[in-house]
Formats: sequence, structure tokens, C-alpha cells
Amino acid sequence: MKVITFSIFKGGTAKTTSTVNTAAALAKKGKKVLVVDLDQQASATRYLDLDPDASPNLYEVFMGVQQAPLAIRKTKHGVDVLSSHVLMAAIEEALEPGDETKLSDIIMPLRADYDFILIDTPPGKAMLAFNGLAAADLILIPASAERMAVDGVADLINHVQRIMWNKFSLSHQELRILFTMYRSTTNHSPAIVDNARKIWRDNILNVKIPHSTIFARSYDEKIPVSKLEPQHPGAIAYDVLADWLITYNNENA
Amino acid sequence: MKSYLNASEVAKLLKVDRATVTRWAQQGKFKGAIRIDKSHQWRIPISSYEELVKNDNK
Repeated sequence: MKVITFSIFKGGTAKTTSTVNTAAALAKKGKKVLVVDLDQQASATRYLDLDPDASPNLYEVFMGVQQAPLAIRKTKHGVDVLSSHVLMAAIEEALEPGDETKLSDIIMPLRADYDFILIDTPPGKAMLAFNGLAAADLILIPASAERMAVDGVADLINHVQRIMWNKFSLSHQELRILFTMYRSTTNHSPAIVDNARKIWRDNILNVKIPHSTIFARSYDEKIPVSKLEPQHPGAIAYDVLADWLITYNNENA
Repeated sequence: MKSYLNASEVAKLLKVDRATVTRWAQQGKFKGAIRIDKSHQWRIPISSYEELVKNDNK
């Protein structure tokens, strides 16, 4: 296990926040981490304090004018990035059915260079999201524990297991659900998680990302929470997730 | 992956009408754009779309 894709078709459930903060937490533990930003809004690219208009970027790699190993950009947070660009929207239009494994091919030569490759996907049933899913060894589904997230999780799991696994040889993939925006002081969030646990049991991660304004502040300041406020419960949660991934990676090596 | 887009796809990306894209293509605004004889569909190279987007942002 090496490539982890953060994906759910629903928007606003902390895909980018989870990708960037997990990456930063892993890097802090000495792991070599690459973030792949597939979202044309380039939020992960911006979060890691890179200019999304700059070259090299993932658009150039998809267009074949730049090789993936030469398109990697360094960040001051110890994480490497294949950055997004507004022109990724054109790639989305140009991808045709059958092109779902293009990203897998792109990152293949990079796998040996990294302990973890984390992929941030755009929301919606988009070809680039499918590319992110097809490239994954492990799919982490960030689900908001604020609203009824169960439908969104079921939609993603159904799509992966019924369509993607049928079309491509991906049945080695594993899926886990990461609850985000969790409010432990209300009855609502625990109730949502309890309900989800009845359906997906052990596929729900024990660690839950708390609801907090620290993530907005972290994005504004372009500093991952592990650096901004290492003792904050939000930072500790991503630290726990990073430890879980390292253990999981060792067990499934 | 296609290396070109049709007028509808470019229209969607630029959030303009398809007729506008067709007119621009006829005016030669997209370098290398060609029209397929049978279908009358425009084939607009992604690289020429890129050029247009980048020049507009300048």
C-alpha cells in the first residue's frame, strides 16, 4: 500500500484538508510524501503555498509536454507536489471512457521514490476523480459527521465496487471511511457514526477529525495544522491518522 | 485522451455559447483548429485552447 486517494463525490467534506494535513503529518514523521492535486480549483496546491498558475504542473504532464518526475514541486512543509492548474478543466473534457487509468500510469515511475503518495480528487462524478480512484491502493472516504453523510459514502462505495472494479483489475483496493467535522459535544455526530458503523463496521476509522475553525485558519495562513498548532485536537487527529497509515502500510507491504 | 475538443466542450469551459466558439474558430482564433468535413464538427487543439486562456489572463 502506497497510494492513498481521498475521495467522495460530495463536495465540502474535507477532502483537501485531509489530504494536505495527513501529508504534512506523515512528512513530520520523516516519511517521503507526494501530494497529487487533481482538482482544477487547485486548493491543495494553494494550501501548500504554491502558485497554481506556475509551471510545472499536472496539466503539462497529462498533455505529455512534461515528464512526471520533472514536474514535481517542493514545498516548505516537506511535502512534494504534482500541482494542479486551472487548465485541468480542459483535461477533464478531453478524457474519454477508458482513460481512467491514465494517472496510474503517470505516477507509476514515482512509486519507488515515495513512502506515500496522497491524491486529492475533485468532487462530482468526473473523469479526474475516477483517475484518482483507479490509481489508489487505499481509498479514504472523508465523510462529514455534521450532515447525513451516509448517502454520499454509499454512492462512492457502490461506484468503486460495482463499476470501477468491474471495468479494471482493482479488486486489491481497500476502502476506509474517515469521519470529519465531528462534534463530540452534540448527539448528532455520534449518532451518524453509530449508524454508519452498523453498515460499514470495521471500515470506519476510529480516529475522527473534529469540527474546528483551525482548519480555515490553517488554509488562510498556508500552514498545515501540525505546524500551526501541533497540540490542537485537529492536529492530533491527523497525527493519529498518519500513525495508522504507517502501521497499515507496514502490515500490507 | 483526446488532443482536441469540439465547440461544445470549449463553450462549456469558457462559459460562452457554442455559436461564439464556432465564430471564433472561423475567425482563426484557435490555432490549428480544423473542421471535419462530414460532421461539420470543429476540432480545436487543447494547446490552442490553452493559448487563448493564457493570453486572456495577461
